[in-house]
Amino acid sequence: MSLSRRDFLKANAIAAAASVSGIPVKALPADAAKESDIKWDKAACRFCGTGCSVLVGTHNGRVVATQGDPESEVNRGLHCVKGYFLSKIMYGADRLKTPLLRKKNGVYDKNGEFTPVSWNEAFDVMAAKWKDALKAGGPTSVGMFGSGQWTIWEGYAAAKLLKAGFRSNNLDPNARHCMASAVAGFMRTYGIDEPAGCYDDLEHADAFVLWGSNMAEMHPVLWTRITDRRLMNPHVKVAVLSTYQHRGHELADLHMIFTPQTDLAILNFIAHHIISTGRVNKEFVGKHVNFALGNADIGYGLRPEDEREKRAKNAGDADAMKPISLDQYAKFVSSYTAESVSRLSGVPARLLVELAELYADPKRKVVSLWTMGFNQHTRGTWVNQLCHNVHLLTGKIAEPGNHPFSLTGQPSACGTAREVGTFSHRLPADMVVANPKHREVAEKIWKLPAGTIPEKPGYHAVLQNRMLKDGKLNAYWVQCTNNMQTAANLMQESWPGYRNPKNFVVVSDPYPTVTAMAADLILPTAMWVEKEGAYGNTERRTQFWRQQVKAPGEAKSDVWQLVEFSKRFKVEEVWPPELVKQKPEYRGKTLYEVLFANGEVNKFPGGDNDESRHFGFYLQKGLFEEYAQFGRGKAHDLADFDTYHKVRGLRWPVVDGKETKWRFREGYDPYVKKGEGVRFYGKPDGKAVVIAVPYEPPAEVPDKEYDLWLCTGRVLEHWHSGSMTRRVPELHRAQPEALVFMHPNDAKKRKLLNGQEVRVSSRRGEIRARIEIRGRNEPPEGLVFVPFFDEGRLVNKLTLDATCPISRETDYKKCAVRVAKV
Amino acid sequence: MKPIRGKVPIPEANPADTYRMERHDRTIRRAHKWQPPIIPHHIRGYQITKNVNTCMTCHSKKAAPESGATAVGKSHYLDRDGKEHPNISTRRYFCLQCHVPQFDAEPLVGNTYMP
Amino acid sequence: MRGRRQVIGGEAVEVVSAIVSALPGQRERLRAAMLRLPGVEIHGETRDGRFIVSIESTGEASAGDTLLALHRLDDVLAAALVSHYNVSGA
Repeated sequence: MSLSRRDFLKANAIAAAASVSGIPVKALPADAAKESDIKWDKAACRFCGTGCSVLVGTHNGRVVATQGDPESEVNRGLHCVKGYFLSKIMYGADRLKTPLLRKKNGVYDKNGEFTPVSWNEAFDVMAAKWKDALKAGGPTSVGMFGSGQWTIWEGYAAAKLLKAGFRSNNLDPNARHCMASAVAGFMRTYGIDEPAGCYDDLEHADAFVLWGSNMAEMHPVLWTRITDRRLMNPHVKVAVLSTYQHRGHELADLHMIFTPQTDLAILNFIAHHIISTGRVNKEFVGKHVNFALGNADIGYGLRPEDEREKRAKNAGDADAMKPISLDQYAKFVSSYTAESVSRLSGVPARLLVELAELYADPKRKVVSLWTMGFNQHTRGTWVNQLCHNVHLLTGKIAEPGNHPFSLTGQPSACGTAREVGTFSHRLPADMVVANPKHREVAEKIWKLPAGTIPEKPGYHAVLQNRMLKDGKLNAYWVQCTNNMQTAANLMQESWPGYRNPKNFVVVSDPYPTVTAMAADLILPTAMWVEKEGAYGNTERRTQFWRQQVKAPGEAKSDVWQLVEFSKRFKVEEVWPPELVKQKPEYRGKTLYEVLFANGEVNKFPGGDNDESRHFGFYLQKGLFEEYAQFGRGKAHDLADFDTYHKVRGLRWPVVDGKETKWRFREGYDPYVKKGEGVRFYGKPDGKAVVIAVPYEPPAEVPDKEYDLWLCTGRVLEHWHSGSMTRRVPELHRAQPEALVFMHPNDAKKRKLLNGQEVRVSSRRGEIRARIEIRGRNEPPEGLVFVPFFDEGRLVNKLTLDATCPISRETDYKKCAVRVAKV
Repeated sequence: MKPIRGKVPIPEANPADTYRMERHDRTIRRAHKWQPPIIPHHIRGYQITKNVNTCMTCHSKKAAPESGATAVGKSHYLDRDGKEHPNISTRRYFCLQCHVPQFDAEPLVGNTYMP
Repeated sequence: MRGRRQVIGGEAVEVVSAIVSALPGQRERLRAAMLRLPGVEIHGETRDGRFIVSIESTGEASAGDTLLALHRLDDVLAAALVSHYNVSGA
């Protein structure tokens, strides 16, 4: 049955009433699409890095239902509660449907009111601002902040437009806040990014160790696989390490609450335990491992004038390491005894030994899992590497059930941010801008004159906000992310940066987020299945979906915006004459013609989506196939475009149509030759690196004035900053406001009652919220946890913009605050 | 156009609201048939650990007829490979991953979804 | 589903949606009173007594007449019309 005309009108009438009043509408069974009328198609879930496959049900041009995809290897028909409500994320009544420009008296004004304008006017003003900035400040005065939630081709189009078109490396994704430390850890250890294993490890392991990862809430569907394995197999052990107790502890056999930052010492103790009890896998280590000593005392990635940076000996040389021997390494870790580490971390020595035995016992297969506890850490790269160390010492890697496994937070942190290379220092397929050979490869594939891509890495996420504030980054575009709510130190960096009169800030978003509200121009954006998309999940699985419904009003996808905007620039306006001289055929051409209608991107006809109809070629396929040239034959092989529309994703490298579950090991990985056994081919000598680095204290610790640790993070019911999930009534009602989770004794000491409103303040700002002493998170005395989903409580006003000096990822897990009655 | 944080400017601190967990006397209608039911009652103090699952004392196939609670669906007795078991599948063990209770919060903004 | 009648091809279609607020404390009474009117359905309501209602024309009354009747109910604080579709049969 299609909706009868009366029912259709009624549904519209009710939707209109809901939209103006904000009252939630109950289901309308009489108007509901009948099951047999619903058209189902697959998509990847819009939320986390797990990469569940969803069946999306559409009817009359709208998404009416979603369900877990039973054919998906990842989730086999399951979702978490967010996934079950995907059907509502696009229908918040405040969807943006037209560009909005700040205007006063009919013209753009930084302090004007948001006024609806046409796309034409929006791009006119925007292009003029870009050209002004390029003229006055050169390429480094323009920049862009993107996302691990961009589809693969969106990230690719952005990288090309920025790095080749505008010749600016000031492109960074919010993945910088999320897994940059994991990337740096993989690159320094293996010379190639992303995990060796995959989710199949979860059904093979005998032990799981969670290092700063609350998978029960943040990767719930993977947690179901671990729960399944643990409860069906009594010999399996689950160890959970965290700075506070959370839902992951419900399944734990070993519980460990440690003092923030001491994970560094615990991992060095485990290495010491493996060595001192004679359980180093000598054959593996001899053949496949090198040892190195990393530079210590590397600072905290703060502004250079900060005392902590001035004091740090190697603040300017954080990356350096030099070779050492196994014996020297053994000596280095020998001071990390169970007793000394127990004193430092607060974890009983007996438990430390029990934990170390999970790794040391050669009969036990172990998967280490981590997310933001490791990555958002002023020593994030180190702590990642220290975890690789213990797997390498025991040879527990790259085979079923043995795996140091970094989980990503975003749906395409791997597929887009990492693989496409949307970081300020990267190019596709793990290449970097600083390497002249890599630039040459990119310039060749992109048909650019030599020297187009600048060699100096651009501003990373944290630096972008600092440079906005300092007035050095003046034309700035944010897509697909809500950085005003997530970047640390809102009051001192982000807010003054966006509102600096020297700058013009554009934000593309489906909703009026706080980032959008802080902008000068807002572009309404198509989301999720309103466009054709591709995401790459945590286990290297690339998944595609087709456009299934139209975007509302004038909303356009990010890729449409990027490609359409490129039409506004002639090469002469953005490139110096010596570049244009090399390619006279580009003279007078637009960036659109040079970058996108370049004979490659526009070579496929068709494409059943709004972008392809607009541009006249299959844009997504063209971008993908051009991009895939970077990785094919280089251990980053992707299958051909059309294949991904047929399958439930494939894990790269995909060679001869076959995906790769375990890398670096003969028999699983086509890049390891017969007879080699194991080869870490990312490094020239095929050997991975075990690094010696010490425990060093955090950038800020509680003192008399600010006497509590603050840790922030997510909750199950909301996705990141809540811009989608807080518009779903059921999810909002499940978790309406961010609470301050606190130990009862800390509440008592401050004469606070449960549920009382408090002021949480740090050296940088303050928020108001209610305390919860009996909630799902149970911090130890001395620490509070406040989630960041709630834009009514901008926790990033409190957090410190200290980063890992190697990965440049912010530490959101530790700073000092105080809590007092309002 | 207004942000869902309300009228308080971004640099200032929003006051906190207060919410109570709701108690309904009947099931809450689902948006569509593939949506897991919302929990229509208070859950404070209900424990799920690897040894105990308090939810199942009322919601299991066996207990539901007597307790009057909604019985756990058939799908919950199938394992990852689709094989049926007498007890709830261990992959569905932590109920709160899919089923959530509700607070008495007004929506921040309307939602025009229709089934 | 009170007040609904069979949908017949070619009929005239009249649908109104409105937001109705109850006087303080009268939410329950108002809900019951509204549901006694022909062609009225409630699609959402809030703690503070606001309702989303739709009103359809029925054999007994036009949607406009029913909206007027609703307006006159004792417990109504305000009733705001949001949209009104009136399409003659084809």
